[in-house]
Amino acid sequence: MNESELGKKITQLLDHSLDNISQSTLGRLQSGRKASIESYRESEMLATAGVSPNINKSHSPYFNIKNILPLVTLLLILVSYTYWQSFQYSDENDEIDILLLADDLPINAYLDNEFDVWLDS
Amino acid sequence: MARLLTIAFCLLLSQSVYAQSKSDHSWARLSSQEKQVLAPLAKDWDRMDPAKKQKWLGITKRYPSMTPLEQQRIQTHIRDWDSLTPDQRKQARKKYQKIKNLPPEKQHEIKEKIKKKYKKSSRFKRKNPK
Repeated sequence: MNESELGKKITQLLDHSLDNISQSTLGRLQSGRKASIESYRESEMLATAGVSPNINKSHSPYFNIKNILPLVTLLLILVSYTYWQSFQYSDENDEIDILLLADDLPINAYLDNEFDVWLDS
Repeated sequence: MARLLTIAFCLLLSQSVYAQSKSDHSWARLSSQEKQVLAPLAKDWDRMDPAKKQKWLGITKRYPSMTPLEQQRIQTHIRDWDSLTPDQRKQARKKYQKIKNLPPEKQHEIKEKIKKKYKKSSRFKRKNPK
C-alpha cells in the first residue's frame, strides 16, 4: 500500500465515523468551537486596546518607540534644566565669592554679630 | 508603574554619570598652577565634593589676572571660606553686598573699624596662644 492509498483509506474511515457520530457529540463539538472562536475574538480586541496580557517583548506596547520617545525627551529636558540651573547659580555666587576672598576684611568679620552695628554706626 | 521606575532609574543614572564626570579632579591630576593656588586646601581636596572642587577650579582660572595683593588675600582667606557652612556663606555674601552698596567713604570708615577690632583680637591671640 503506497502513501496516497493510505491517505484515502484514512479519509474514508474518518468520513464513515463522522456519519455515525451521535447528535449529542456533534452539539458538544459545535459549542466548543463557538466558545474558542469567541475567546479568540476577545483577546484580539484587548490587544488592540493596548492592554494585552501578551508578554512577548517585541509586540509589547511598553517597548514601542512611540512610548519611549516622549520619555527620553522629558529626561533630556530635566537633565539639561538641572545642569543649566546649577551653572547659573554657581556663576552668580562665584563672582561675589572671588570678591569676598580678595577683600581686605577677614572672612570672619562678615559673620560677626557686631557687623550690623558697624553698618548702622 | 514600570514607566515611573524607568524614569527614576534613568534620572539616577544620568545624575551619577554627571557627578562622575565632575569628580575626576583628584589632587594628583591638578596642574602645578592649580596646586599652587589651592595649596591651603590640599589636605582636604580629595574628600571635597565635586561641586566645591569645580568652584575652586573656577577661581584658579581668575587667579593670574589678579594683583599680587589680591592673590595674597585669597591665599589667606581660602581655608576660612572653605570651612564655612552654606548658610554662613550666604550670610557673608549678603553682608558683603550690603557694605558694597554704601558710599566709598562710609565703606572705608566701617572697614577701618572692623580691621581695628580684628587686629586687636589677633594680637591678643598671639600673646595668649591656646
